[in-house]
Amino acid sequence: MNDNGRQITLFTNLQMWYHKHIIHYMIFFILTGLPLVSPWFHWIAYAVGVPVAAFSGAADITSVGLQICRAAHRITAVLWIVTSIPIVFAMLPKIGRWDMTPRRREGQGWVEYIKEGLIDTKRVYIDWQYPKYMGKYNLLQIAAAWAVIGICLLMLASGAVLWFRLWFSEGLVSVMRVAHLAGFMAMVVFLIFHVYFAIHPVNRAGYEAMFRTGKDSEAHARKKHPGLFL
Amino acid sequence: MKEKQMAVCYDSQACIKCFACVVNCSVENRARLQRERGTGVEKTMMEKLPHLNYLTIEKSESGVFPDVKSVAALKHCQHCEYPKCMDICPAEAISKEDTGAVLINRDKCVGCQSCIDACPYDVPVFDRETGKTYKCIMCNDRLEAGLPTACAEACPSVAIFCGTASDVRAEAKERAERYEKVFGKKFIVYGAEPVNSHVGSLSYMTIAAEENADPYMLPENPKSGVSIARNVIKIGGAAAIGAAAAGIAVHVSHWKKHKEDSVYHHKDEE
Repeated sequence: MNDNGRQITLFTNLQMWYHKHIIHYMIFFILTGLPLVSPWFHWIAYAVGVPVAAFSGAADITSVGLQICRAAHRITAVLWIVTSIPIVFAMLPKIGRWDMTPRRREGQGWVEYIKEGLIDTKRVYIDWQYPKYMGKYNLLQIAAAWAVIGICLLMLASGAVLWFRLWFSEGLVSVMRVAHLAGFMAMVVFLIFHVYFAIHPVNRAGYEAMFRTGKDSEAHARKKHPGLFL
Repeated sequence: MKEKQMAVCYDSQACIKCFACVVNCSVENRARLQRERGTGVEKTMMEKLPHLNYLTIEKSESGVFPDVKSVAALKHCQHCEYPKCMDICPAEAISKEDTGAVLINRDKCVGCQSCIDACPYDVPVFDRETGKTYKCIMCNDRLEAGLPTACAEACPSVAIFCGTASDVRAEAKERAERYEKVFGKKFIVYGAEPVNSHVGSLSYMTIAAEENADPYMLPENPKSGVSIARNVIKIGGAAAIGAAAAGIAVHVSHWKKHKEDSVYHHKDEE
């Protein structure tokens, strides 16, 4: 890229560090959660249970594997919370400047903002052209980001109730069990789209920024994210 | 061929409320610990082991004095034809036996308590000491050995009786008809026929006056909202995942068709 070498920072080191950890946690969450969602995935519990049963002499390998998966699921949740502490402290003070905050131009109504955002998103992902107004994220990314934050909070709250279920009423535990499953399904659908669009050539620069330097050339950013410079 | 399907019936009209059934159930479960788990006799008798009381009493009172009605109902697993606890158990620890009994395999149970959520009769009980869930096993071991269930064996008024499902059903219906003639009100044999499509028929039936269905905890349309919701979410989630995959396939095809015209195609332009 010939752009006189001027670079802008898309992601800070802390954001990149957190994102990489999130990937590991999601893999662990999914692998350890799936055997509890459906017996179709009991092979995961069985694979986990085999070495443990070999030493412990447990009667039912799948059952032992399920218990280990449940424990690993909870440990992963604790690690996720611990890892989230620095990012929360770093991000919360800047909440007014988050790139995923919907920003309307002066005098622009919500309907016009949404219409413009959708047309801009179509321009990128259907017409394969550069957008006219898009900032760091397009409208659907902004919506998805807030949805994911909501889902994560739901998963944390429902997971905590399920973990310490003896402290709560049976009714609440039942509701939280359903909510945890619904949140998981929504998260899987989000991840499918997220991973696909992350590795799509349209987002090559963003992908490389997230996993390598955190930076993008200003020349490219002016074309792909004109909203950042408006 | 000998009929394998067994059943138990509780006749609330013949019951004298001595609760020998409750006592014998507990005794039998303590004996099971001794003979199956090698637990010492003293230990099995000294500890309360409330989770092993598969039969419990739920007392309810209704009306205004002097027209008060007090009912002490037996609470136990109904051994549904379509056990929702079995469907929801992530450890596949719950099974429906040929006898009709629904059993929890203690070695497989991981103590997640999903079965408690799924049971429309609110029966399974979680024991904090063992970290596992328990419920009536319809004395499946005794039935297979040709013995009556512990509750039926203890009952002095034959208010609880067991046998092959067809015999029990016939006897129960005959009793209900007789009661209707004698008392002039409608009696039901709850569970002899499918209660609804959710649970099906029951292997533990109950004879009761229709007007007493509520205090005897015999809902007309037992349903587990959690069980239904989880199934809907699983099916909806699988459909959404399929739709997402299909949408991505269409998008990939669109990209392949137009990528030469795309401003994002060449890395240099990125």
